[in-house]
Amino acid sequence: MTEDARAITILMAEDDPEDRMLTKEAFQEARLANELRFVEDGEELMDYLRREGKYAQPDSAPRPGLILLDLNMPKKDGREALKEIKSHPELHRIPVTVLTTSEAEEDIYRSYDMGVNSYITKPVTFEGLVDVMKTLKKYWFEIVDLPPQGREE
Amino acid sequence: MREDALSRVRNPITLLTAILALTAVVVVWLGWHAWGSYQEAKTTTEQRLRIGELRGIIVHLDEVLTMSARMAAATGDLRWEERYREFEPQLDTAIKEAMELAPEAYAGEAAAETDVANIKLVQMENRAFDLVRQGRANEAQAVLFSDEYERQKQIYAQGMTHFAEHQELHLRLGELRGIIIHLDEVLTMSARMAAATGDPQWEPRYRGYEPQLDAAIKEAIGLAHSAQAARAAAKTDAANIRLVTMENRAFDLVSQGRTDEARVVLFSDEYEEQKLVYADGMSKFATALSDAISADLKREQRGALLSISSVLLLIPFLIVGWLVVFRAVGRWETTLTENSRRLTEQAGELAELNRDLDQKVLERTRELEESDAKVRLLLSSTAEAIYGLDLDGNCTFCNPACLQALGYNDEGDVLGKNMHHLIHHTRSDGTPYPVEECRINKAFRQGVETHADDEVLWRAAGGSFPAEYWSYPMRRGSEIVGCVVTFLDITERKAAEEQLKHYAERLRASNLELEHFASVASHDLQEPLRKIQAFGDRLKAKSADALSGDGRDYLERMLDASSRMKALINDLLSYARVTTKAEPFSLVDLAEVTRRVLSDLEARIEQLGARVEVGDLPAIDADPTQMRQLLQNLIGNALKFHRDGVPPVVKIHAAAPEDKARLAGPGARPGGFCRITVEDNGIGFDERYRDRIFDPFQRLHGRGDYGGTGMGLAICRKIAERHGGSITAQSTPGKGSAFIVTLPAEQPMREAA
Repeated sequence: MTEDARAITILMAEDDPEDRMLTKEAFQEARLANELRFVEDGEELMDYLRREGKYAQPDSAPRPGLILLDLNMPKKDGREALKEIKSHPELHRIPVTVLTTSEAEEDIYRSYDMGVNSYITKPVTFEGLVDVMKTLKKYWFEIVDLPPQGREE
Repeated sequence: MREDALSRVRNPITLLTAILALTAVVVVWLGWHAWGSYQEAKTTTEQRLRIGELRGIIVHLDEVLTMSARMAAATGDLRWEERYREFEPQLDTAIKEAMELAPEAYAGEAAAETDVANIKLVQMENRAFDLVRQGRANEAQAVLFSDEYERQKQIYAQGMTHFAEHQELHLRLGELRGIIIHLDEVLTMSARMAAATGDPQWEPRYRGYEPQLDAAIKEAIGLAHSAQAARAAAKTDAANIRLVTMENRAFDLVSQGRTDEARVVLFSDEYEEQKLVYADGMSKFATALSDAISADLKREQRGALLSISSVLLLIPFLIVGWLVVFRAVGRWETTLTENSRRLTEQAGELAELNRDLDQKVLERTRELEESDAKVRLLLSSTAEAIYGLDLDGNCTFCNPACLQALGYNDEGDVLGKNMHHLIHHTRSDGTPYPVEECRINKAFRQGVETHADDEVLWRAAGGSFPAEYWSYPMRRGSEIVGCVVTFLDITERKAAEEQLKHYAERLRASNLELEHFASVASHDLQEPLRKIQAFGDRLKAKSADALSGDGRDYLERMLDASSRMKALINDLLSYARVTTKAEPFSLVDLAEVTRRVLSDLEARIEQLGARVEVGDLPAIDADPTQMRQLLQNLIGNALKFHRDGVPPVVKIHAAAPEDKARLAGPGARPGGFCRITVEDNGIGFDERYRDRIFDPFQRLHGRGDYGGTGMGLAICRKIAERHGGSITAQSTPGKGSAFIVTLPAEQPMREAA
């Protein structure tokens, strides 16, 4: 269990606004208190993580303790971003969970191949989504120990 | 030919016979001649001896006759005429004999003269005798001592010397013997005449003849070479000396006028005795001379006899020799005849054999020509280029197709040339192709067949073309004598292959595009569906209370519709993916696949209380994923379409791939087909629809009765067809159905595009 799990920022990369909305709602339904940040595509995600571009300003991009990653995104899709993240000397430590509509075996395989921490196919129903969030919360913030955040600053 | 040989054989026989006869003749002739010579020699020698003797005798007798006549004339005593008559016929006989023996001495004028002289002398002597008879002794003396008489005597003597000219030894000896005898008589006569008449003129006559006698005796001794003769001569000599002594005394007495005493001396016993001794000696001398002559004669005779004997001795040898030869020849002839006969026989056989052989040769030649023509026809008719190489790699034959392919007009341009250097010298990329690496050469030298289709051959004009070739070594017995190369210009084929590759590429690309499109499309299509579903749920969750019953109903239907759409999209995607996501064929154990499918459907099976029986299922060349899809669909259907209240019983079994006989036909595959049957005891269907059920989106029941999009069987059919197989169904409504998938056991290319 991580100390002060509530302080962890969860960063979600999702291009679909409705999906973003639904996820936020599911979050709330699941009573996750964590801050949920959104980026809309892979480029924004990398900018956020690297604190570049529009996230150049300090404090505009608090380091996430968990990344929820959609694979199909414009500009830079999740697969590329994942690759970049997991090959980055600092960023690779951040747990990444792919949350995508694609249930293609190839995507699953590739993602794990690149070092993704887990892969979740987006549930079709809202309830399903809420369940996923609850489970995520339990798993990542209550069961699992996350790497300490302090040193990376 | 045979006759010639035989006649040649006979001729020698004749020849030999002739030679034999000739030899006999020669031998006989030689013998005869030898004998004749011998005889002749003997005769001649005897003759000559006799002639000599006769000459002596004649001379002597002539002198005796003269003496007799003169004594008669001197004494008047006619007893001398008796003596004369006694000796006269002897002289005639001797002369006749001499004439017979030596006619040549008596031929010619001299002989005639001698004859005439002789007649005259006889005439005168007869006249003298007449005169003496008439008592006219003095006239008789005058006649006999006349010049005429002396002249005739000289002529006669000359005639005799002709006779004496034949100077052969034994003739001379005989002559000398005669001379000696005659001279001795003359001397005696002279002495006795002197004693009788007291006429001193007889003494010179005596003295004249005396040396002649000595000379004759000496000559005789010298010529005789015989001891015997010498001894006799010596004896004669002694007597002669005594007689000479006495005759000399008588002459002394006559010269003293004491003629009576002289007569006494010359007619004394002692004188007679000495004369006898002398005569004896003379006759012994004569014998000795004869012996010597005989000895010579005998020697000659012996010589002749020897030659005859040798000739005679030779005859039997010759005869034997000739007999042997003859016999040998006879045998030879027999052998020759035999051989000739055998030869004839064999020649006959040979001729027959030859005829057979000729016949066979003709036949074989014809066959060979035919076969040759066939081969030539084959070679010229075939489209494949064929050429032959010897161990050096030089061309030994090539067919028209070969020439054409390589762009040569004439066989001569290619025959005998080293083919690697002519047409196989460079690789397709332009690098030189050394002959040591040439695959054709390596192969046939090692006695191995070779085949290649990645090399080029070079034309006469210079360009190259891709060729596929096969090279086979040519063997005679176990020895490699060359090779045969056939090749094809595969330019077109290569082009076709290229194009095929190209098309395959494009197909692959197209498929990829399609897949991409399909997945993207499905993804993008599904996204709104998700939203509909998601917000529908949300609506239901949050505002269901706010909705009316109808409202809730509508919402439900909307949500249903959207899920159906999702299913449809998924199924469409699956259907498309039968092609786009086709995996390469590999050996798939259908039993294993079935096990997995059943494992996946475990929950359903249990839930339905279904019984599934799985028979022996083979392993076939197939796409593993698609086989799974196929079986999942079929078994799923079997479970889904069960009869109410009847637990489904599903049987899955297969007919063996060996069952080719029943399944052979167009499209028959090498390994045959296997039939997999999935049968159930479900609701079944009207067989009217058995083809329609495999069409996409075809359903035989309302959407509400049994779930599903109607794509399941369409996907199954697509999978079966992709594998080169087929699917069919049988059913009895209310009883059950059987779905039969026929799939090839082997796929030609395990890697599908």
